[in-house]
Amino acid sequence: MVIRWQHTGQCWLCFRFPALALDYWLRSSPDACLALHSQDQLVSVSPAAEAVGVQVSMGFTSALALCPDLQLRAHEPALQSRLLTQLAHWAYSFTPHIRTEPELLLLELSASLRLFHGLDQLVAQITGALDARSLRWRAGVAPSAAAARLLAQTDVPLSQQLTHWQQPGELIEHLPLALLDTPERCRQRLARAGFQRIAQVLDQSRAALGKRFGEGLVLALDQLTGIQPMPVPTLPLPQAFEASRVFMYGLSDVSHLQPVMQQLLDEFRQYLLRHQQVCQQLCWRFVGEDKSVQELPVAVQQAHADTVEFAGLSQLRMEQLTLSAAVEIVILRAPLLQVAQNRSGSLFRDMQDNSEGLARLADRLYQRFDDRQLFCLGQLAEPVPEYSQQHQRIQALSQARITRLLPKPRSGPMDPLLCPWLFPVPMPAALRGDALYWRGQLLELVTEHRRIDSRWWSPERVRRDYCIARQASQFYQCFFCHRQQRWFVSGCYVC
Amino acid sequence: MSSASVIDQLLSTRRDLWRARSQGGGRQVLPTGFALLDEALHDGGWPLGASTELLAEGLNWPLLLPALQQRLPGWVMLINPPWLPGAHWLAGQGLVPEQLLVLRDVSPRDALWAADQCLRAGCCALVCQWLPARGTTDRDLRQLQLAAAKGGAWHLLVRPPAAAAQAAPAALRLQLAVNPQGLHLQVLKQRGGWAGQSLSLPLWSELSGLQRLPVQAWPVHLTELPQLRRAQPLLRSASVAALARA
Repeated sequence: MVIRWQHTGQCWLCFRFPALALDYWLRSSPDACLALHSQDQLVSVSPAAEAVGVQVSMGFTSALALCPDLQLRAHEPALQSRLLTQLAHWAYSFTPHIRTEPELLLLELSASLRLFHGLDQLVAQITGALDARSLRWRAGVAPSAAAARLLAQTDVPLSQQLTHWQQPGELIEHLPLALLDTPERCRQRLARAGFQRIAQVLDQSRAALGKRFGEGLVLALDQLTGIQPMPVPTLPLPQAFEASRVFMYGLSDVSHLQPVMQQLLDEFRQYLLRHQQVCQQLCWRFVGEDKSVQELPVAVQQAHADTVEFAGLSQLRMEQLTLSAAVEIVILRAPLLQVAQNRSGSLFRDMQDNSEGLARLADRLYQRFDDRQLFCLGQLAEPVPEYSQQHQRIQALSQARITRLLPKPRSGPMDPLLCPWLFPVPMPAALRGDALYWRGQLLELVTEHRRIDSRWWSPERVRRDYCIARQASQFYQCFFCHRQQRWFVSGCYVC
Repeated sequence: MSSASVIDQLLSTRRDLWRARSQGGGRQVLPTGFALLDEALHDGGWPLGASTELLAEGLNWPLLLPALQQRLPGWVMLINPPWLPGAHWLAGQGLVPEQLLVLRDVSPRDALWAADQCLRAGCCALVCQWLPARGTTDRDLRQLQLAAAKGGAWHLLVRPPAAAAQAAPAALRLQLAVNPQGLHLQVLKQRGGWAGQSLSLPLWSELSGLQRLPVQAWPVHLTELPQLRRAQPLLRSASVAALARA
């Protein structure tokens, strides 16, 4: 029994762009006479130029004779590839399963049909957007990628294809064999054997075809009919974003850069939304007229896609920037993009995690202050009070982490080593006879001393006796340093 | 029945009479944790969404800890404190040191900007700011109060006692002084209520009962500590030194 068309469960939409680069150059002036050339021959001609007789493969002289206003541009395969990649990234908003081939864009839509209310509406939305961009295209819809690719080469109306897309045999079987994706030599052999239509080949058994014409033909037929469907690809997302604006004249005022930066951030926002990515670091680069480059990094604690916040942070950094030269190029780079993670929130107010708000606040503060000015405290296992805590960079801690870090309240007698306020540097107190004076007033020791002997392994051995002293109604932490044989006041209890 | 009670009875029957003292104002407050202080304050606690001015030499943690415990977890922002907070002591009171933020060595304008940002964010449990007696304009103080109102923040302004003579837009102004009985507070101004109340809070009770130690109990002044032996310079004989030079 000859197998015909297999149900694959997939829905492929293939777009063929025969003149993508040309449409790109014609986007601002669709009626212009424009042609792309490669090695002195025309490879692509605009409709306006075709109307006056300019054709593909014509030489420059002939073309210019027919159309003196003809604009010539070099054909750039790299541009074609870049444009197709941009289209693929644009199509990511419809489906993540995208594959690009030369002049072709293949979309697998089975997972998107429900979200977009059916294939007809989805295809209408996609084709409408392509028409709005003034792109010339042909499309094919089929349950297999090979069948969709084949239909995109024909003139079968898309509406007719949508009606019969689940039975592609009705549209494909009568098509000529020349459209089949096989080597030219195989097609010639099939023609010599009398095969003209695809249906004639499908009527034969695969084993006989493979023996006579090669396994390549069998594979092409299996892919066409869905017996061997192509694996569903996923578009690899770029890990970085870069956009720039170039000026013919230099911008010397920082305030003039704000609108440009806002434009770039808007473009970045669209990019992040389209790719469902978030960003943790931006880098602005300003290239001056003298080719000097100034960089302005903007980093955040938690990656997000809020470009309004990035704009505010960039503005804070710009306030501290002095331009060394008038700026000709403004570049925005986001080197490390991450996939956005869905975070669940709590329904209960007291369990809500406000770490995101704290992270945003820390980001804003760190745009203006450095680690030396803005810090939080960390405890160290060190007996000497001034070495027992360290300054560290602020981090927005989640509710769960705070709960784990929560210390146990201490009870018991006052410990002279623990003081609510510490002086940055211990201040010396004067001993006169049996009395201790500090700032001209008497200091009375009121607690037993607590001795610490630390850092014996270093030349700066610390042996001190700590106690609490009272001066009038206030209490201070003071210590006697055996190394210097002096009294010091190092902290304050009541102020 | 006295005439005063008769008048009160008549007035209470009228619906079109507005009495300032009966207005709660619907303002958000934070109970101080001290019943005496809550009674003295018209709104019954520290005002939230407004500035509170403490006219004192510094910040007294036991005065704030009972209220702060209700606001945690959250960041405690200290802007331009004169001294560093003791992390170990605060940890002993139940505060996570990583949530205690310090901003120091910044210009007055930067300090005001930072306070504005923290107050507007509304995610800080407490924003405490030290300001000098002079150099801060009334406009700056009003901006800070507006920022606190926007974020619903608990904002404390610590200023020297000399600033008491100046007018300030803060919703609550307290003058603090330490005395042998504890902490003496005087209400200089409070929104919606009368000023002039005085009270004392017995803070640091564990310290107030301590007596002076006799000199005999003072730590012994030990002699110089035995240090690690330092490397002695190598002594060479004159003939060896001459050979080395050659």
